Amino acid sequence: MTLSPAARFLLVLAVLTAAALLLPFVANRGLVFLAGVVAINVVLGMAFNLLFSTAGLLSFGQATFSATGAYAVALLLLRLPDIPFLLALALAAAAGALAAVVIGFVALRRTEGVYFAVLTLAFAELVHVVIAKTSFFGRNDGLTGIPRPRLGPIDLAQGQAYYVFVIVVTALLIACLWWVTHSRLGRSFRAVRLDPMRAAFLGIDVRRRQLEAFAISGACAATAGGLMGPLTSIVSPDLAHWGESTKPILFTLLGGAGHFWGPLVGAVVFSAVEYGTRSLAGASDLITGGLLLAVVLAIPGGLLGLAALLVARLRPNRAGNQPSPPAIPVASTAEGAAR
Amino acid sequence: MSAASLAVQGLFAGYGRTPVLKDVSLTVAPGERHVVIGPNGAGKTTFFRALCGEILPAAGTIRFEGRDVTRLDGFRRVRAGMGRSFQVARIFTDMTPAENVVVALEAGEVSNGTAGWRFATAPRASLRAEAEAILSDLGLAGRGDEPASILSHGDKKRLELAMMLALKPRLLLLDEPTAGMASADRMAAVRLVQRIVAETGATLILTEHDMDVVFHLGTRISVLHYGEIVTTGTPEEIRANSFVKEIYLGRGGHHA
Repeated sequence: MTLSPAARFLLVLAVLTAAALLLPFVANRGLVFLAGVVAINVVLGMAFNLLFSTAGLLSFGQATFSATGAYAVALLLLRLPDIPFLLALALAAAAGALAAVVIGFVALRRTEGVYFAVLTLAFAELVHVVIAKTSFFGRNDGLTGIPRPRLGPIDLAQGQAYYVFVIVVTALLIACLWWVTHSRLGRSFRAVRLDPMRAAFLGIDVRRRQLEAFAISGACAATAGGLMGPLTSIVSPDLAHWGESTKPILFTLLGGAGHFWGPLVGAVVFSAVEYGTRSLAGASDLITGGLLLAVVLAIPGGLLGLAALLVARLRPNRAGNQPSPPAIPVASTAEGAAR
Repeated sequence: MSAASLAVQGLFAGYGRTPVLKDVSLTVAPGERHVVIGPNGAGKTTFFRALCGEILPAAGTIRFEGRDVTRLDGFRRVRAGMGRSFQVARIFTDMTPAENVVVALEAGEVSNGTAGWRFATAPRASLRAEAEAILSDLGLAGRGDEPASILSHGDKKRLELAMMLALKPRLLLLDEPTAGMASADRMAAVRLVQRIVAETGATLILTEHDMDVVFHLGTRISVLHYGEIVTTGTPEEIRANSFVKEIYLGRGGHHA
């Protein structure tokens, strides 16, 4: 039971990936399609959470990066049909990172309080309007007829091949985000979040670290967004709408911002509730909205925070600490006093 | 002048349109333990902030080991070899004490370009060992997995000192290192600072309220009054200075 954090992470990731890959054997095409969308949303949520929980930046414009990636891949596939798909995804990631650096360069001049969030929102709306008004991006209609590409000898249009591809790429992106979160870079991100002034007086270039976090988040969100076009065969300006920026935030808060897997739990639960209530026209939004309100107000740690609390309750005294007051044996109080 | 550790020339600084420091000049020789004293509101903290780069001066120059650092951001001054502590200790409360020092050590490696690429997420074993050595040297060993937030006030100050020392600064800027401590702890803190200075050979500049600490630690003392340095001298000269007595010591008899 003493697995290293990396081994534990890889184990969880392997189990989740295997479960997702087995889904086509037990579920219908509609559900599998939905699972592909959820997988992409998981990455969008985790990319947001890298900024929010690790680097301490509340970005309200994540849709900009996912839309950048989606449009980059769509345009490349439509205009250069022979481009290798992995190259298109890499270019989408670069476009997302570039957009993040440009926006971050301006928005990070005001990291304190609500200014940064409002600036990212303003940029996101700007991008949304530009996309919706530019013929190159297909204006309000977006770009349609995006083909499912080939991957070398593999035709991703066949059967569930593209779904498998989406799951594999999202798993790799999740692994990247985990690595960044837990590496030396992630530690300096956390230092910047916990106390930017202290971090600066350890010689850490705070602005640069924040820009790096923003670029990594943007690149991951753009890659995930790039997977969306060939899945749905259409990209529209709705992808850049501010409502899309709130989704990663909701997934993160619902699942638990303090946990790496929080956005995954949030995205899965949110989508499941949405799917379960889809026939209740109108009431569906009410139920999902109510669920979010309830979770955010009642359990600020999110669903994983609640789960961690329950596990701690069920296994009291395991590490010899934090039992409920009446459970403290006299000996341990004496020991505590002696310390 | 280039022999000085720190040379401040004609420094003016303040907040917005409110000037606080007026034409402050000060030279600190290597190995000196320079204490800046003055009544509340004299501009000690502003002076301190200007020295470490938290605020940029309106005029004047600050040279560190001959290099003009007047316009450098705080983190670049730290990279140049200036270390800084805060009046209320600032540490990363969610991290363990060891993680705090490891983050400092890693920041130091990144600053001086010796960090290199590292795929493993855990800190280098040599860094962890160095962090443990620094912590035990400052009496903070064996704090394990507990977050630094539960440390006592004095331990937090020592942890901050540990983080600063991890960067091996040649100039230590300490903002009221004994603020909020009981008198027994103060003298322990003084001995600790003396030992560190003796071992590392670092130059020391500090602001301080407690006169016991000032006269124990300082080899030179500057008195700041209404944003100007009214006198600089050895502890004996400052003790004997009647103007200083009048503006500072006399008024606050409870310091003695």
